[in-house]
Amino acid sequence: MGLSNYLPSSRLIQPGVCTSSTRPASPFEGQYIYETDTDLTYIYNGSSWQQTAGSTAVGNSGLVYVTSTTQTGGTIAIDNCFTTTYDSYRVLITQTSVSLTGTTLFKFRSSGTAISSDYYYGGNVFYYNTTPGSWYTGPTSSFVTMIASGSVQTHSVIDLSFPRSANRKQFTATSTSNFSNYIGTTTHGILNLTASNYDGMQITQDAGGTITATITVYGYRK
Amino acid sequence: MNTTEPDRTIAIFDAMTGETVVRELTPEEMPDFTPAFVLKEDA
Repeated sequence: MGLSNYLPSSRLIQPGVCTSSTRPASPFEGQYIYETDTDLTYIYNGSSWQQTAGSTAVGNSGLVYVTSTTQTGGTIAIDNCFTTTYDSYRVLITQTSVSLTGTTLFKFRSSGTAISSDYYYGGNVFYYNTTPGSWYTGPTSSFVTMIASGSVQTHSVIDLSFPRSANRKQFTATSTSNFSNYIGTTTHGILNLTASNYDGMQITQDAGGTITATITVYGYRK
Repeated sequence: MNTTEPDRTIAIFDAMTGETVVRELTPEEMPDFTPAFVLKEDA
């Protein structure tokens, strides 16, 4: 039997057990603590405490960070971001500048190549001070962001299902932007009619402008 | 870049290796640079 069978917990040294106000003053990298007042656990990465889990087990819930990159170019692509680890993904696209006025388009990629034979459908666009409209998207790309120009920032969220299965790809995309009097949002429910196996994605502006954007990919934990 | 010429560069980030390759698009990769939505004049 251990000491805890003979001594109350208050008489034992409990390494790694503290409160949010009594964390180790000189932690070492890899040190693991549990806070009794918050029921949260942290690990020290050499410079700060990183939360590892809440009071409940992480289990199969929540988003898991996959990758993020900030790039500048006429086309910005990410390869190998969709794997069989997750069935569904969330992609955040924050476009911070573009050299021409235009709309940013989305394509899937596979094995390092953009897929140009797919069909994408759907979309509504709502502008302040203009008439709401709808878009039918062309066979080789789909809208994901609003019109932007210069340093106007647009933000898009894409929820994407089964990029690595033979199922038809479905995703919803919402975007916001603020350009001139075109302040508004877009919402797209998009069905991709082919059943290919995709491992990446790319964005391009329809006017051919240079884009600077940060793309972050999360997986939905199974 | 403030030009009406389409930007033909592509920046490809590989999530597996963390490396980025920047190159010119091949003719087969070139998008159809046709604005799909035309702005109206500001009110």
